Amino acid sequence: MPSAPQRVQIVDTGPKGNKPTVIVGVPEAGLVGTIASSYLVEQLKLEERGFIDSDLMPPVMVVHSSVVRYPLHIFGKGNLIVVLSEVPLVGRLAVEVSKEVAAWAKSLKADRVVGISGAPSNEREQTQGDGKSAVVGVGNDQESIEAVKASGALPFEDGVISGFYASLMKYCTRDQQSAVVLLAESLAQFPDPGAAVSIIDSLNKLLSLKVDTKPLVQEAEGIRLRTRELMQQTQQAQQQPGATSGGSAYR
Amino acid sequence: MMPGEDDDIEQSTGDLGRMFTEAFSAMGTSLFGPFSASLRPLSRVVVDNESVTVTFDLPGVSKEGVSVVCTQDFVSIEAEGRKHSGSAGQAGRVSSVEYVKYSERVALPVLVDPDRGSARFRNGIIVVKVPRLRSGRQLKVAGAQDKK
Repeated sequence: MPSAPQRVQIVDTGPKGNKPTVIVGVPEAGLVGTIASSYLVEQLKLEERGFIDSDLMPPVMVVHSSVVRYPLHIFGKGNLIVVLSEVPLVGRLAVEVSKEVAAWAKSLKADRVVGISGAPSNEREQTQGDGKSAVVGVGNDQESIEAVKASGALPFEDGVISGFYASLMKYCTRDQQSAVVLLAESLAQFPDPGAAVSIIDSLNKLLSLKVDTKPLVQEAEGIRLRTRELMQQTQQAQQQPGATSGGSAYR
Repeated sequence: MMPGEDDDIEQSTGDLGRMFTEAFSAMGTSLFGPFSASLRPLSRVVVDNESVTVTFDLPGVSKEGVSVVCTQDFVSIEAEGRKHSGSAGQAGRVSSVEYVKYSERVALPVLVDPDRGSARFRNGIIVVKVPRLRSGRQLKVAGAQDKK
């Protein structure tokens, strides 16, 4: 009897066995996760080590420097891996990808999975995305919760997470993979590089990185311009039947 | 503009130049308008009991570069900004932008009172808030026994 087709395929040519941290950034509120993880890839000069594909993905390939690539990339260097999506992951696709990412991280004996995203916030809408924003974090084990506190992120004590990161947290917990989700208060429907700066600040503390955020602040307007189309696609994807818009409600 | 500084632009309506702008922007329905390489900005419309709020994302634009027209049933915007340069991240490796020009017309789902509208610009985002138009009169409710 033929086996069921594999709905998500992770192709990773990178090294194994160095207990990496796996950062995951996908387009959701304010594109915070995508902007922050893209900035990490650029600043830390991470190399592409693989990709994630699925028959549930829309028929989209991206072209960078005349090279055709899968839109769901895996970058890495040393013990840091960044999973970066350039397409929205909603509905069944979000569930299947997060499930496989959790299992893959477990197979790598990852030290921790760190999801980064934005949480739509009225305060952020009031300030029209000016300046930095507050970051809240949640972990799925005591050690992760302590790490979130030490990073300066506010503990996410009560509330709801929805969308891709909720699913990622669910499957990491099922697979007993240590995981954290950091959420920066963000604009919901406009790209919010300021919130991404706040996420990088938190990651610097959480992972003892030294990523300079000044270029991100300086380039914020250009990023907002270049990511308008992805923001539009993300909004449209989240309005499709069966999609759960990413976000959170916490207190 | 200093971070945290708010700027209020009170918008008036009715002037001829803006009527032209309004008619002009009404034609632009594609990503690039028919007469100029104007980008359609991201926008958001929120309607509550009292007002309609339309927000436009205009990165690269300063307060002086924005023109807003509001009528009873739509808000349109024209904006121009300065040059940009610099590297791009993985999410958007596109060549640097020399200048930006935006044009958009948003049809409102309810009627508004443009004379009482206001617009606030900050961080390249403009928030246009206009009270909903309230007109009409209370009707007398007749019951079946009134005919007797």
